[in-house]
Amino acid sequence: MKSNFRTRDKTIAEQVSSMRCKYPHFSTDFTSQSSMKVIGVLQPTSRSGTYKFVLKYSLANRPETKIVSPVLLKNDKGEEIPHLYSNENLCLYHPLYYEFNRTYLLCDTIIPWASLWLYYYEVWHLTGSWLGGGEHP
Amino acid sequence: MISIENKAMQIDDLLDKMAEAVQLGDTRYDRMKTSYESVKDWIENDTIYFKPYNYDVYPHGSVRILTTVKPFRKDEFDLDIAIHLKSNTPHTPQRIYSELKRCMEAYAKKHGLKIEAKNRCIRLEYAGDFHMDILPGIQDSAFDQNKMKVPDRELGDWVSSNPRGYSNWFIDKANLVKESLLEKSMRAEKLPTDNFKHKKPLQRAVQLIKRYRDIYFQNDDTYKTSSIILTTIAGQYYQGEDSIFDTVNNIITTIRTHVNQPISRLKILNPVNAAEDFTDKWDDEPEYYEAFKKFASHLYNEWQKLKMQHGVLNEGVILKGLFGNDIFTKAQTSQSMLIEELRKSKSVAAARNTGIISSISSFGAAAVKSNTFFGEYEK
Repeated sequence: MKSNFRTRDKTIAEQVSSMRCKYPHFSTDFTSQSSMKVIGVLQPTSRSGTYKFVLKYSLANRPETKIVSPVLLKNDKGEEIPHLYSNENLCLYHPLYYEFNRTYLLCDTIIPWASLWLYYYEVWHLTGSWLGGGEHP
Repeated sequence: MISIENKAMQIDDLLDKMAEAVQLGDTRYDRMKTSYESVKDWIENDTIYFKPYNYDVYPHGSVRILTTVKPFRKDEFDLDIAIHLKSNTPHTPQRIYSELKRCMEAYAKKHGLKIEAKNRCIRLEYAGDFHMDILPGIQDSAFDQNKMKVPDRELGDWVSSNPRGYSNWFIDKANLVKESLLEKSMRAEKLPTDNFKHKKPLQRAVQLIKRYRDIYFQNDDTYKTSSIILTTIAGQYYQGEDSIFDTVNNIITTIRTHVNQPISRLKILNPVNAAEDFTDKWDDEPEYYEAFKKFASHLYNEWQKLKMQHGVLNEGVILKGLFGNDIFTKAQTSQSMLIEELRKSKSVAAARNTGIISSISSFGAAAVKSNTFFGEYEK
């Protein structure tokens, strides 16, 4: 049964309950039978700022994560923020590398990836370099 | 536990890495060591005068107490050496000094170095790199292994000097803390102690305060506070704090308390010779004291801002202003590279509730699955 759980697609109900269990401070709700929305606050390091995000997910689409406050800023050289889609969603994984699919739990993938993204975003502001690796097509 | 999980550790890790970035580099240190050994050999083989006597040659100053700071801009680094003659030789101060001068002139000629006769020491110039100040002296009494009489050319007499005693005093102070915050975290990670290059919080604090001094006085160094004053103040006010942040905080808060007393000025006495006031110049030229007070108060105010924890982005601006852009960026990058290595080795987790990045060992959480930050076509 266990290995079965690991490899099969997760239902929205499973996504919602696992998120509520692991991150009880987030507000996690169904938006339909096949979609959900998470609103929460992430802090990548103990001295970091806190960032409010919205995560939307439906079984038909990829998860979309957006920082809603504070507004993400260009760095002081005026450079564009790396690894951000033009609709301001965070680019957290490579869609072709199967790093995320419906068998994964959002709370174990998208949330820690968003925290890491924020960490590298802050370090990018501090040092001028994106030190988290990744690819730009 | 990785440095960014804990507030106190996160900033201390950064301060530690910044201090490491300002200290004298290994290559220059090795060159200095070679030069020092060579000078030492030369003196020991001096058949004309030094050979029959019983003496020690040793470094003192910041190299000995591990508080070196790279010269800011074009200043050369100075290495202080003492030649400590043990027995009570019957010679005059002038004789000791001129014998050392003779001996070192031959050395300088052989190695193509410039030599300069200073008031109490002989200086060898290693052009553009460092200079070596060699201080000759005779042990003052049989009861104190460290106290010397050194020739003072202006006075034409002996003066008391105790560079080794001072070093011991400082190192004892630095060792007031048994285990620093960073040492504790390294131990928790079971990192091998033999590749442990960390210095004690007091030594790190002195390096950072000296670096901050160099930046603060970069445009006008007429009334720059000397390293010996800063080092002594730090040692005197240190209470065994286990973090670099708290060490600096305590030192500058105590300075503030003292300079705000209206009746008398702050005096910094030599801890191994109370008759010597390192700040006696502050009486004749009060501008030095005023400059010191402003400098200390600026550091105090910036440190209070760091305490408020307005996020790493604001802290970055403060730390860059205090210690320099390059040093900060280097330290921050080095901290981030460690996180990146942990991430690659799948040892990173995100804490419940907050998402704070931590190591899997911290609370037995599952490692974060690998991901590749992606993006759209470049604009």
